[in-house]
Amino acid sequence: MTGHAQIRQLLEQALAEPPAVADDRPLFARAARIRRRRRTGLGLAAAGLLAVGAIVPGWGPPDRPSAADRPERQQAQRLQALLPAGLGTVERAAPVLGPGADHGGPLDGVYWLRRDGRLGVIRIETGLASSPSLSCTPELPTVAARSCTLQAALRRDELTVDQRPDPAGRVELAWGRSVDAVLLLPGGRALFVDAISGYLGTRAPGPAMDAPPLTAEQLRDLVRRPELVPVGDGGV
Amino acid sequence: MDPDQVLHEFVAARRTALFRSAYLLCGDRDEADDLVQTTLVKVILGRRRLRRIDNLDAYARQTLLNTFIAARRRFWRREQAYGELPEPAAAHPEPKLGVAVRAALAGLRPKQRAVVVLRYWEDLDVAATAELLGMPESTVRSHSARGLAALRALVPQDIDQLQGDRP
Repeated sequence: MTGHAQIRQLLEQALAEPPAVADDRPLFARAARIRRRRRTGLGLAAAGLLAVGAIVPGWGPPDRPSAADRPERQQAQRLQALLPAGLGTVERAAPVLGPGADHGGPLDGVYWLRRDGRLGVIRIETGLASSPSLSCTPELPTVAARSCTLQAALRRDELTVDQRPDPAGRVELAWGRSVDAVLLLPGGRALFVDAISGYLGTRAPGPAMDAPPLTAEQLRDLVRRPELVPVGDGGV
Repeated sequence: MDPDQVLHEFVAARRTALFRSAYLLCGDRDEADDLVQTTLVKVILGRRRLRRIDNLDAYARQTLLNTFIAARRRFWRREQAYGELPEPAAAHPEPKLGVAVRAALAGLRPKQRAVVVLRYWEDLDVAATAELLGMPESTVRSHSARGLAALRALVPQDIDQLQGDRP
């Protein structure tokens, strides 16, 4: 055997099994999101053209849905309308991907609340009452694939979403403080709503709020709104 | 063939191979997975240029290396060379040799590690490695020699007879 082959054999010893990836679609979706963000940079130039279009006949905008018409934006606006004023701006970061995803509520999803440079989270999920919220973070694509495990036994304020070994012993990503509510629905299903102060750790997408964005009382009011419940379960 | 279809087939076929190289470079499963995902997203984003790229595999390899080295340059403070062998996790006992090789690789500088991976895992010759990393062939040889020396120091029983690139 040559030295070259021996080194290769040695390197082979150091390999780990690759993660099981059945679906490449998230990868392409991530690329599409980045492409969309890049295109918004061209928005200013497009706005200039539209301004010209307003003056020059025949230079109208293309006939396509605006950003405000997109379903995720509409969902965020509907949730914002249900929240107390002054909580911050709401954006839908991701649809919740859980066991109940096929029969989810109309506002199921992960929402980010931005206020004063801080980032809070509201998670709404309809699923089996026996399957509490997942620790998946589909809103953070780089960690979503490996952190979708049930964490039923853990208290939410101790729940670590993704904590890889870190040489400095820092937490890489964990939930901040939260207020959680569960509303039982017919047929053994439930609506889970979590108001979380944000993400902590070195991989947090932004600084967390000092407290969960909703108090327990505000969360109770929100969970009782029929707008969150699937139509068959008494929603509107 | 439709460029989208080419990309999908490429990602499905080469993801595992890219992960293996990334793992040897990073020494961490999650970090390697992140590196591969970032690399593939960059390849997908560059698909408009793909018609002009004859060798998609080489393009992905180049992107992987550039991303790895750039990230290491940015976060060099996080680089830690292990002075002793890390304890294998109790739940997943690993062969001691594998842990030692990973520790040896972790002790190398990123470009030295890249040379070892390209030369001995990807099986590229000195000239191709030099071109990919944008460095003179003599530097590839010296990096390769240092890499082998590190392996030799940590796992002498297995590679004391090895002959690498002569600087």
